[in-house]
Amino acid sequence: MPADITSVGAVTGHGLGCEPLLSAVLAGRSAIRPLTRFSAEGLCSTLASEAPSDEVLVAAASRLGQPPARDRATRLLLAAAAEALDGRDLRPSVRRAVVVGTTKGALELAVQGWEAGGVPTEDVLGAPARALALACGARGPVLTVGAACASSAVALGEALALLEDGVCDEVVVGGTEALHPFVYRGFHALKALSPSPAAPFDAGRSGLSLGEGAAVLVLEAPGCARRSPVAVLGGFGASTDGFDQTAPDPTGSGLATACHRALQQAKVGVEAVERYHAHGTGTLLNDRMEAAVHASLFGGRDVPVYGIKGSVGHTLGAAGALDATVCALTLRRGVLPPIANLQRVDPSSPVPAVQGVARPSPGALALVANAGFGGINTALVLRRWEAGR
Amino acid sequence: MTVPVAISAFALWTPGGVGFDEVPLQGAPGPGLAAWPDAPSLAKVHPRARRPHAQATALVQLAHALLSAREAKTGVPPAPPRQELDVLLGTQTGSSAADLDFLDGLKTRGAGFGSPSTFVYTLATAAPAELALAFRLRGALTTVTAGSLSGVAAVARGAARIAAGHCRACLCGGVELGSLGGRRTSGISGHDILALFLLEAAAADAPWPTLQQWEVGFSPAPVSEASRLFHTPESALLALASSIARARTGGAPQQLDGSSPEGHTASWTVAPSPGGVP
Repeated sequence: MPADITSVGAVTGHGLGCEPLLSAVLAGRSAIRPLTRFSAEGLCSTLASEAPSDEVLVAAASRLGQPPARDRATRLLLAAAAEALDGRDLRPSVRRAVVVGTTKGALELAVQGWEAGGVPTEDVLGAPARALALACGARGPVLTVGAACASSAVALGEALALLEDGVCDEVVVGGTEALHPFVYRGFHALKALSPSPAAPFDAGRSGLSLGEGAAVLVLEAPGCARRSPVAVLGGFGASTDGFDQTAPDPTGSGLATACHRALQQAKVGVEAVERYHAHGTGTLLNDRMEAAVHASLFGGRDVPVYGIKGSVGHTLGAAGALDATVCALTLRRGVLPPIANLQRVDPSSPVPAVQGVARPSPGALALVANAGFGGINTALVLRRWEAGR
Repeated sequence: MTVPVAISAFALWTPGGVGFDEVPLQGAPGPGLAAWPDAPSLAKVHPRARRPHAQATALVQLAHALLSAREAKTGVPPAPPRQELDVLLGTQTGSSAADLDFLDGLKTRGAGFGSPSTFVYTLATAAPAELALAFRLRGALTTVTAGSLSGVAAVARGAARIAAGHCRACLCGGVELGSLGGRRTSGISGHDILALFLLEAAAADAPWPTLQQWEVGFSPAPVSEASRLFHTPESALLALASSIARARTGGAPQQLDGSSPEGHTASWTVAPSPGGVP
C-alpha cells in the first residue's frame, strides 16, 4: 500500500528548512566547509557540513512547546519537526506513530557519562524518537530503527508497514545524526574521509565528507491525507549483502535486490523508473558498486543519476530521510538537481550523472538507494503526486 | 494478507546459562553472560570472521546453535532457507561495549589512531550483520529500540512482517550486552542477555506455539496498574520467553501486557501449539 508524504522538514549544512536545502541542491552548492564544532587536527580531513548552532536549533524547535533537548541529534530532529509539523493538527485523537532512523542517537550523553567515570543510564538510541513523540502527541508505536547509513530509509519502510498494518493513520518519520568527534575519528581510522569536499562519481574523488542534519516527513494512508501530498512513497525494499562489514558487494547484487523488492512492492516495473537518486557517498567502492547496480537494473538505459552528499555531506542515519525529502521536492518541481562537486564522471564507474546545472525532468517515478555498513541495502520508490491518481 | 506466525524455536543466553526452548535459571551473581563451554567454535561456524567484537561472536554462536537445531529437526515442516531469513533485533544498550572500547583506544593512542576494526562494531547493527556474514543471509537486517521493550517490539514487528507476507521467516529478539572486560558499559540493562526467537510463516496446525496478537504503543502517562512495568530490557525478554515456554507445554493462551519506564507499551498473546509439545 502506498503512502502520501504530506509534510516535510529539514535541517542541514544549508541551514534550517527545506527551501534553503532545495535551492542549494538545485544550484549545485556545497555546504562542506572547514569544521568548527571540534578539532580535527592531525586527521585526514578537516571538513564537514555543519548544521546551524544549538541556539538556532533550540529557537526553531521552541514552537513545538517542548523543553530544549539535551543532545544535538534530538535538537536537529526537533528543528526539522517544527517545519514538518507546522500548521498540522496534532490532536492525540489521531492514531499517530513515530519512527526515527539514526546510527548513534544521543551518543554525546553516553560519552559524557563515560568521561565522568560513570555508566550512562540514558536511552541513548531512543532519545530523539521519544522527544519527537512527546512533541507530536504520538500514541502509536514509537520506534527507533538502526540500519547503519540506511537507518532512516528503513524508518520510512517501517512507517509504510505500520500504515499497511492499519495500526495508525499517520506516521511521523525522521532521520537524525549529529557530528561528533567519536564518529569523525572513526571514519578517519577507516581512511574513508576525503581531504577535499566529497565529489560523488567524479574521476578525482577521494572519499566522503561527513555531514549532520535531520529530516522529518509525515506519511498518511492514501485517501486519508489531511493535506495535499508532496509526493507518494510507493514501495520499500531491503536486503543484506552477507559480504563484508564495511565494503559493499562490488557486483551490487544486494542493492539491486533491494531495488527490485521496492519496485515489486510499488507494483511497477524497472522500465517505469525515470530517475535514480544515488546513495553516492563519494567513496570508490560505493560509486563503483552503484554504477554496477545502475547497469544491471537499467541495462544501459539513460536513467539520470543524482545525489546530495556532495552538497550536504554524508549524514549517516539521517541520509535516507534527507534523500527522500529532496527526491520528493524535486519530483514535485519536475527538476533534476546536479551532483555538487562533480566535474568529470569517473570512466571506471560510468553513470549518466546530472552535472553542472539542474535540468527539467517530466519523470514521475524515482528510485532512492541507500546502503550501509554490515552490507545493508535499501531502496524506496517515490512517485510524483498527481490529483486523482 | 494475514499469515499465521509460529515461534518454531528460541534460545536464551543469560548470566544464568544457555537455554534452548526453555528459560535458564536466573539469579546468577554477576551481570555478564554465563560461561558456555559447549558453545560452537567461531572458526567452525564463521570461517570468514576477521576479528569480531565479543558481542558479535556471542550472537553468532547462539544463532548458529539455534538455526542448526531447527534445521536438524525431523517430523516438522522444513526450516526456512537461510537466505530468506530477515533479522530484526531489539536493543536499548546498542553497541555501548564497542563504543567504550573505541573511546579507550582514542584515549590511549591519540585521536588520530583509533582502531578501525573496533569502530566497525560501534553500530547497533554491526553484531547482527555478523550473522549475515557468517550465514550468508540475504534478507532485511534492522535493529529496533523501544526502551526496555526493544526486544519485544522487534518480535512484534517481525511478526507483522510475516503476517503481511513480506518475509517467510525472521530471527527476532533482543541483544543487550553491556560488558567490556570486567566493566559495565551501560546502566540501562542490569544483566546481559541474548534472546533469539525464530518466527516462521506456518500453517495454522503447525506444531509450534503461534503469536496470535501483538501490539506496541506509546503512552507517556502511567498506564493502568494491571499492566506490568518492565524496568529493564532483560525482564521483558524473559517474560516473553517464559510465555512461549509455557505455551509449548499446552494449556491456555498466554497473554501478557506491559510498559517501559520510557512510555512504550506492548501486549502479546501466545497460543499453544495445536498438537501439544512439539
